Amino acid sequence: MLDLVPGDHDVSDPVDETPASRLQGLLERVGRGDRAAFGALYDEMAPRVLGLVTRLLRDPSQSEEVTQEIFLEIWQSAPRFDPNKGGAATWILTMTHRRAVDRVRASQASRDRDLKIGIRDLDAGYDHVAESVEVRIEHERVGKAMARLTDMQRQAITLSYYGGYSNSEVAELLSVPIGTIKTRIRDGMIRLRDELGVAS
Amino acid sequence: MTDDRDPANLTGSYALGAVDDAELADFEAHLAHSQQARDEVTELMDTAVLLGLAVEPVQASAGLKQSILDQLDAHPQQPAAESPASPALAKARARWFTRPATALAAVAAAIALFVTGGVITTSLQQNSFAQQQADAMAAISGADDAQRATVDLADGGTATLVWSNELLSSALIVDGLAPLPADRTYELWYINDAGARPAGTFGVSAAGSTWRVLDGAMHAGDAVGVTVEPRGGSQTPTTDPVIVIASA
Repeated sequence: MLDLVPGDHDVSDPVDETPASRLQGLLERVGRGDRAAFGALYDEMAPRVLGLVTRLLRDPSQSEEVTQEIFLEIWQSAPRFDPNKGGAATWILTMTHRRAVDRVRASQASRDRDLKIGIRDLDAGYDHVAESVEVRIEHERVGKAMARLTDMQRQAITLSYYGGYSNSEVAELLSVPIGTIKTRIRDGMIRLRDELGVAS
Repeated sequence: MTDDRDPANLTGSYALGAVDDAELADFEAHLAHSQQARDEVTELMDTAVLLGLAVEPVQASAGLKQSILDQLDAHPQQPAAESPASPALAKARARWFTRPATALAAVAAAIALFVTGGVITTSLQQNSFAQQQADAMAAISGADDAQRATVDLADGGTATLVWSNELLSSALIVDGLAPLPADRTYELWYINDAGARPAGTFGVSAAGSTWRVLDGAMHAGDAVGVTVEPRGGSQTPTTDPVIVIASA
């Protein structure tokens, strides 16, 4: 289960509460119709959600529109969140990525996306140092793990996750057989899993 | 070099949401009977979330929050999933099957094959047939008394029955079953000394693999049969079964 590195948060929280359990508590309250908790969850997660959506869609107003849809889906489906099945951050970020990919594939513009956008390195989106130390640490940790991949693996994973391209699209973009793409992605993700110490 | 069509090679792509629609159903069928694949997918999905958290946050414009809050009344919340009826069911709600969002949506997509012949790529329809199927499959697979039996098919494929007497239900997983013309369907039957009870219909993808939870209650000792019937199914079998699996 993943911990979310927090931003600044309320000083009223019990000191022994972890960011992950705090987020989970918020989401559970949202599931019981608590609008104040929903507001707090929005404050905590909106920059993360919008950050990831923007990474895929690029267009700011379209990204906000999708973010709005995502938070409404969070509100509607929160009663079905079960912490025994995975963390709150995982639940939200997985939903976010799925929504962003759906949108990017549905829009005509996405068909014309420039390959160069898709294959930018993980670091390329950063023109300045991330505002919070926590985010920067998280970013550097993932960046280091990505650096351990082969160029081919990193390219395939970046195109897939940050570009929203399907296997067959990646294969076509790179003029490589689709089976090769699948293998690069799987091998690369397993390497990332090990580098980042993810275990179920 | 791994086989291009080997579903085991798709775990990473699945975690990244990159599996092509045409391959999603077959991959889900593979997941349905490979615990190893499910474990790998779970870990790689957690890994993918770290990729998401590593992206620089973006501050939303000032009005976005209020705009969302204003729409809550128009977006009623879904009912909570019913609480597990038994320890077996609780265990059944294991991580992969009941993971919200993508995993479950993809299971739904696998099952949509039966219903529409298409693939769901939008958000999961709650309370849909697909979700009921996924929930039921999870319950059976995770039941303490879950059992399974596999038979070889005439054409070289296999059919596996998974059942739980405690839950009175079963699911059939087929691999390598021939696709049927549009005016025919496969129909499932619970069979015992009293005769055959219809238990739902299904179709298969071009690759011939899929799964289906049977309708109705299973009686201990029932055999499960599959016949080819006219589209829409029949009340009693009109052809000889192509699959029969005994559960005792």
